[in-house]
Amino acid sequence: MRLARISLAPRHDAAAGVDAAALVDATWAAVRPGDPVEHVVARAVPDGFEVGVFLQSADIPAGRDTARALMSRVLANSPTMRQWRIVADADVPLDSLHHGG
Amino acid sequence: MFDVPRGQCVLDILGLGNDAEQVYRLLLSHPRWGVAQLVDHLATDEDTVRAALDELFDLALLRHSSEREGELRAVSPTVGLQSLLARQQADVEHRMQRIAAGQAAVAALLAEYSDRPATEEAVEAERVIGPDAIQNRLEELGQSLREELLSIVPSVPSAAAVEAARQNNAELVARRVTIRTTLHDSARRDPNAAGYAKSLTDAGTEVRTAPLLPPRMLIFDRSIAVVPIDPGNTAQGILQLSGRGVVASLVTLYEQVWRTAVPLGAAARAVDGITPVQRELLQLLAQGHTDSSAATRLGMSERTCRRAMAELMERLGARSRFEAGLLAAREGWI
Repeated sequence: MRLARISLAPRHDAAAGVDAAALVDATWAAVRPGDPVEHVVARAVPDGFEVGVFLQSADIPAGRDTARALMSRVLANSPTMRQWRIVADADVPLDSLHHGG
Repeated sequence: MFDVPRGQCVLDILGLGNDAEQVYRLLLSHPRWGVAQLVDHLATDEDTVRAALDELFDLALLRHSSEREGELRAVSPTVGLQSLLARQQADVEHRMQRIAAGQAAVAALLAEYSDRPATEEAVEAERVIGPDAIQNRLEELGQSLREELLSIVPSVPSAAAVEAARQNNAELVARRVTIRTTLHDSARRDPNAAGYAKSLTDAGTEVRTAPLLPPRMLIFDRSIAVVPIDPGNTAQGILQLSGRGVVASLVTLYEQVWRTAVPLGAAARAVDGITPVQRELLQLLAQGHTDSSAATRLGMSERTCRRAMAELMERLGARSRFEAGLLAAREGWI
């Protein structure tokens, strides 16, 4: 599995509140058949959300594209989520989590 | 600046949970594995693997915050650390709950056996162990059957058992015994189960399906009930119950399930705009089930379960599960 990380921020101060569990649900709902998504996790941080998408993807660009396209659909799917935007995304190499790695 | 504590030193102290560490090692050695393979290899449940992946993500937030990689924003280490600590605490609490539950179960068993004479059990409840003994017992019970057989079949049995059941059923119907069978809703989608269901209806059995079923049971003439000794491991054998109180309760349970079940051939109906599956899902989550345990009980994948939940939230206009729960209760769905 690969891990893609996506940072979300509100478009404006008054962005509607969403909780991390609702965001995970909305993400699963936006997964299309054939998307190699294995697991989704979201954490609320002071500036918005950090979303982790674990993918069964062959290479880094494909994984990152899938994750970015997925989150774009999540944000487009509902009026509430439309008040959020993607500020950054990246592939997180799992071996980099190693001690001193 | 500090001399000692850099991010990874703190992590050495905190450590990953045992499960997270195992999952992490497996992911490094088997980069192509998905959740299913991890569950298989670790012989654990999906919740555990998903919790471990959550933990790895927290670790990723921590590691990459300290390094300020690329264009990613730095996340305050407290966020990830708090998640890790919270999970360790939850882990300890979960273990303590399991110990407490184990103690309660043992106490209940001891109480049950201490104030009941040994002979009573032999009369009202009998254990039958071993495939042949079970098959013989079921045949005997079938032969003495006069009016009615009620059955709940949560999962489709083996091909051999299906064939045996089909023959038995045909004989019973020929003797004018009424047979009612309740299957799981998934029987409508699974081709094997659908074949089984069709062979039942062809033999004259009335078949319905329901989204949530109690464990497997057979009730003969409303006087003898047969249930697995352990619903989680049907190979353990069966329990034949003839105590009036127990059998009457099981018959009531059966009738309740039957009333909400939908006849085979009819489409699963939506009540109040939500489907029976969504209603069951709400009820299971309200009882404290996790997504994956609710999905297991409903015979669906966790992804489908989450999708159903997202649809419900959209319908209710809820922004969190908590709000969805409140609104669903207000609608009278829970």
